[in-house]
Amino acid sequence: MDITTHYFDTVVIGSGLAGCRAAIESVNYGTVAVLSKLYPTRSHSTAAQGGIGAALGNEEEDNPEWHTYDTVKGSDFLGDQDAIEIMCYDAIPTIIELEHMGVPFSRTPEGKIAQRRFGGHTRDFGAAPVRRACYSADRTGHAVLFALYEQCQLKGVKFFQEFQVLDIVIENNKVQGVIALNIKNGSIHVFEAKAVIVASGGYGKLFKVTSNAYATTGECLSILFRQGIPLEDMEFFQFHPTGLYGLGILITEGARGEGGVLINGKGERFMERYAPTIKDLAPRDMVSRAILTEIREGRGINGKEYVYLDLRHIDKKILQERLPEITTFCKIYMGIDPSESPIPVVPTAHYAMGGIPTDNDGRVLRDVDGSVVEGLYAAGECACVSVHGANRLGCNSLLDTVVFGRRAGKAVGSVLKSIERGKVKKERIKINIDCIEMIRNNKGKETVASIRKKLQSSMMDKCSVFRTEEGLKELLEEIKILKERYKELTISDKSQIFNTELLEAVELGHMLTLSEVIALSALQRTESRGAHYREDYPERDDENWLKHTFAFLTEKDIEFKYKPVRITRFKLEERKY
Amino acid sequence: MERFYTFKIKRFLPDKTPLIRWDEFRIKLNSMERVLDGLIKIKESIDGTLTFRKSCAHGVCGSCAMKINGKNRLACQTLVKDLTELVEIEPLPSLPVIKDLVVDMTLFFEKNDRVLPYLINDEPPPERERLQLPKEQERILESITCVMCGSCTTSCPIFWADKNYLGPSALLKAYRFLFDSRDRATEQRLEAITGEHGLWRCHSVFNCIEVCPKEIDITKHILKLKRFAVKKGFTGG
Amino acid sequence: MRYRWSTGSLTWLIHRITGVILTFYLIAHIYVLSHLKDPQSYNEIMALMKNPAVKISELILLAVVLKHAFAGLRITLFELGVSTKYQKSITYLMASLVALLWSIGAFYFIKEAL
Repeated sequence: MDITTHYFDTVVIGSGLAGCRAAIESVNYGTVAVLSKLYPTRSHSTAAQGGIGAALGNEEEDNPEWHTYDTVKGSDFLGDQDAIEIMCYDAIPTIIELEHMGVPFSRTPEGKIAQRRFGGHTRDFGAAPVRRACYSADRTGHAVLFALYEQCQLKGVKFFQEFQVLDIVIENNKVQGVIALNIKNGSIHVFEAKAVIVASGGYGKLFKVTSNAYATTGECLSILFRQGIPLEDMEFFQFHPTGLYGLGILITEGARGEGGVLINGKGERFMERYAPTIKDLAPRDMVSRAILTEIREGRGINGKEYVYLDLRHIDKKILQERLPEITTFCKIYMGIDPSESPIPVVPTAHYAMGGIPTDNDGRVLRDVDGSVVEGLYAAGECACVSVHGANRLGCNSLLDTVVFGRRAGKAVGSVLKSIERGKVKKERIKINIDCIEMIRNNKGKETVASIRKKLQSSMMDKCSVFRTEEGLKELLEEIKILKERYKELTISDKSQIFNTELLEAVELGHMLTLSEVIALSALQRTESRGAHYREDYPERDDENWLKHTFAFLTEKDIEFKYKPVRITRFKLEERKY
Repeated sequence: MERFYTFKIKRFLPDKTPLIRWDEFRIKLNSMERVLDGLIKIKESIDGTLTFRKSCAHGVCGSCAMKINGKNRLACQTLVKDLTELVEIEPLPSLPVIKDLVVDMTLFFEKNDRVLPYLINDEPPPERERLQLPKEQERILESITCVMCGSCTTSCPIFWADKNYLGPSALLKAYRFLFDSRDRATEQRLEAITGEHGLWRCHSVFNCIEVCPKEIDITKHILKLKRFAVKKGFTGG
Repeated sequence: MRYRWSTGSLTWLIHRITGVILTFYLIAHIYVLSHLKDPQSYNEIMALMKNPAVKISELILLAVVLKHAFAGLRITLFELGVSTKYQKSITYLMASLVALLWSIGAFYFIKEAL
């Protein structure tokens, strides 16, 4: 087997916003390699539409303290307030920095960065919606990702495109390196490094209907989890209220920020009942629940399983200038013009609040006591700082990626001198090669597609917006069966070159692991908070559950520990909008 | 409404003989489904070895560009109901094929690197954002929507004949920075794009406009670049 | 390699082909001119020009010249800043002009021949 070894100071896994931002920072201190299973600009960050939040106050009065409060309240008080404060205050310099790097933000008439309203972002601690989301039409992610990738090129970051990470090697509580497969020719590459920053993104593909890309399967989380690293708050998975009906393609919250409203089958603007103050701009968990409640109670459009997002009253020129992308999506995929007909929407799996636990500088935690793994960092959607708590506010995810990507990069820089470069042992490489060969040559009767389809639909049915004990237990049973079936997997493509079937099989194994963690985490949290809604426990229970869940893989099974929420400034209150 | 379609796909399996062959698959698709859905269905239920790139599946990442019925497009943005019953699919033309519909895009991305594809401004940055008036930004609005799928460059007959030609995508990238009011590397960049294989090789064939999934009028941008280069005295190459 | 033709690429191809034809024509033309040394050879060549095959070739030549000239004009218009939005309509307009001018030319040709 062809094995190549590379030496870098820092290896970044993932070339989305968090990965590129971390690379830009850490390349100031040493050599950096970025591994990506796609071409860098294909990363799913590019699909982010609506905006990136910062209290710049360009359009109206705003301040980071309000932003902090909104984020804390949006997180249903599960977010760590010190981390949230860092993010909201860091937001301003970070956005200005992005602008200097060349991001083509949309502009106000005076030439400043333009801002728009977004769900859950308010002025004066909840008084009224505020313009806080900086945007570049409805292609903000695309604009920011390109600028960051371009800066990486300028600064000499080395990209390894179409490399699938097989293993992140941790030994003696220190990260040693990364083992990856070059998809183009099937060769194995070992990256020995001083530090590894995991920025591998989310795992929306666990669900049947999702706004996420095919690449978002979350294998890096599972790779770490299988080595004993905990996963935090995995029960919290956000469903975006407005996905195109039948496809799940995202229709940005910015559409409602620009004045769009949701209407049910009776023609009512139903959000008025659920969030009287900020109505359609309520946080996503509430809007998603509201839409599904309307549908369950028979008030979908013509009794069908969707509601309308109505943009017809918005000036055509504004649609064209600020929401061109979603206008095209509607035309291409639904054959409708949003300025003339309402858009059929349903909630779609969108964002993982949970992930690899980190401290405020991106260091990966290995336990609830705050101890860390030397040299291992995580940032972006795959990480859980936690700034999003139980529910993320719109336009805070892009902010999270750049703020904490930058912090992780800086933190790496400060320790590079004092840590040794890791070593990846031959046996470890061999285990990975054997594992790949086993999947390649396994002779069973199950296909990747059949197992994956079943998993995705079960997750969607039993672990999405509404959850019950009964459903989750059934789901866990099903996952158990699917894991057995996975052992009987066979693939028809045996080749070394661009074997996507093999990669999908590897990804599926990790998806099964993650699903189990999510379902178990959801089962043990017997309350409803943010995006985690248990029909059998519909109330928030601060007395017992104001704490982060840490799931560990132990010899026997998956076990849970808990970490208290850091509350610094804002006291608990009922979450009403 | 469901209908049967025949996907006729040009296969390239590097470790099989014959190297190149045409396979036909018959599949049922509904009117909302796209060519990408069809390919996935084939991979999942008929032939697992069929290989193609995919990611976002709604036309923003640019992974799944391929030649469909003789024209480059994104498979995820081409609805089958708009095609004939027989759908002919090939990889992007004029790039080395790795496997089936997957081409080696290295050559394409290298072109991009030649135009200094990053904002260059050595002036000390102000404390806040650099101001840019909406009308200054309007000049680059179309060019920033490029997803680098490669459809345009590989549809260009000049590129077919001259593999060194920068091509529409890289020229568009050069435009994006040359016309950004915040960029200061005008001369450097004009120098980089006006060589023998650069700007002047564009013969306004308009093939790039026909295929751009983001409907960017690329030729318009290249013509503007030409006028700009002449004005700045960069007529060589 | 097969690739679907569009208005732009077809016009481009015709522009090239007509250009090549005109190059060869120019060589032939200079060759003929260089033989017009005395009245006798002048009369011989003029007699040859009356041949119907030559007449038909001249009709084709007219079409080639017109097509090439207008294709060049079209590209020049774009380079001078005419919007590429009208790319296709300008192509059709140019083609109609070529057809019109050619018909007029052909009319006089045939009239003279008869």
